[in-house]
Amino acid sequence: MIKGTAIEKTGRSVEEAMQAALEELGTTQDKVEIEVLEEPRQGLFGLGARQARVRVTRLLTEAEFIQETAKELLGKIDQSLDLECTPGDGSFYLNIIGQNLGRVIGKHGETINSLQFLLQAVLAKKGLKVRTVLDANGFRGRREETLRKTALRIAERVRRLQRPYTFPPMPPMERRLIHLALQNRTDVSTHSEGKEPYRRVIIEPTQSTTNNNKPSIPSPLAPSKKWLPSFAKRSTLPSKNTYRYLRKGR
Amino acid sequence: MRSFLEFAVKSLVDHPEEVEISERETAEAIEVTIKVSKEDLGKVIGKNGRVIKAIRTVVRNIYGSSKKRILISVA
Repeated sequence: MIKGTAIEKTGRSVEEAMQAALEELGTTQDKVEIEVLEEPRQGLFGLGARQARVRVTRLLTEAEFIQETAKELLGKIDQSLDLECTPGDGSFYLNIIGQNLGRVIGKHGETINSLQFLLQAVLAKKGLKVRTVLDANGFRGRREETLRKTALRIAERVRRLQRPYTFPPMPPMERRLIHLALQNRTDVSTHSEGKEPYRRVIIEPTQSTTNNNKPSIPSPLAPSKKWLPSFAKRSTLPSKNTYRYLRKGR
Repeated sequence: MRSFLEFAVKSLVDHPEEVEISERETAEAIEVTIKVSKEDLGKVIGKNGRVIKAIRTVVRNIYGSSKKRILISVA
């Protein structure tokens, strides 16, 4: 149980003060911790009389606490966002529901990844080190699918051209998906290079495949790349354009 | 933007009562300064600036416009 918001209330009796507090918090007695700060005193003819004072603290389960913190954080961005909470074992899945979530997700999930990181930081500050996943309308699942398809498509290109391909920097989870998608392939291999947060996945052709496409040392007699017609250039040179691999409809 | 920053920063630091957020608007940018107590500087910035980077990303993508940049500094 984690302590949530606490309020103090006064009343003619302990009972009365407690009821008032419960009403304000909108909970029931079994979900709070009650401290009696001052017992009421009758006094004489209204002299020296004292009201009862209690402090009522909400007790939240881990799940409730995570959900509430996330709701508060997201509420600052947009009041209309709704949250769906699914506790798993040892991890937490939070799905934001609403319309026009593109703004919350950001380019390639940039915004939602940052929000997730902030949420985790806030929770860690309260002593909650649970794996928390923040999602928006099932974006993570869709992204997973896109990445898998991209991995397969790029692997095909690497095999065909016998040239390695370097992805733009991606977060660990996304790199993992690329590795997983290609782990059973024998024609290409994957590894990552660079330091977080700029680590990139590289897909390489495996040595054993026949290397008749590309001489390892370019012949000095071969025409320089400048002289190649544009369609030839396009088919041999990996694009420097970041995120080209994510372009749709290819 | 202010309430988001305030909530995020206050729930990260040890002395939330010392958090102050000020905004200054110039012709081409909105300059936001987050003031926290000295011990809390590291908490708002994070390891390798990861926390402040996340804060900047969220603020830029959600509250930013194409007209004005938002500059966030921690002091």
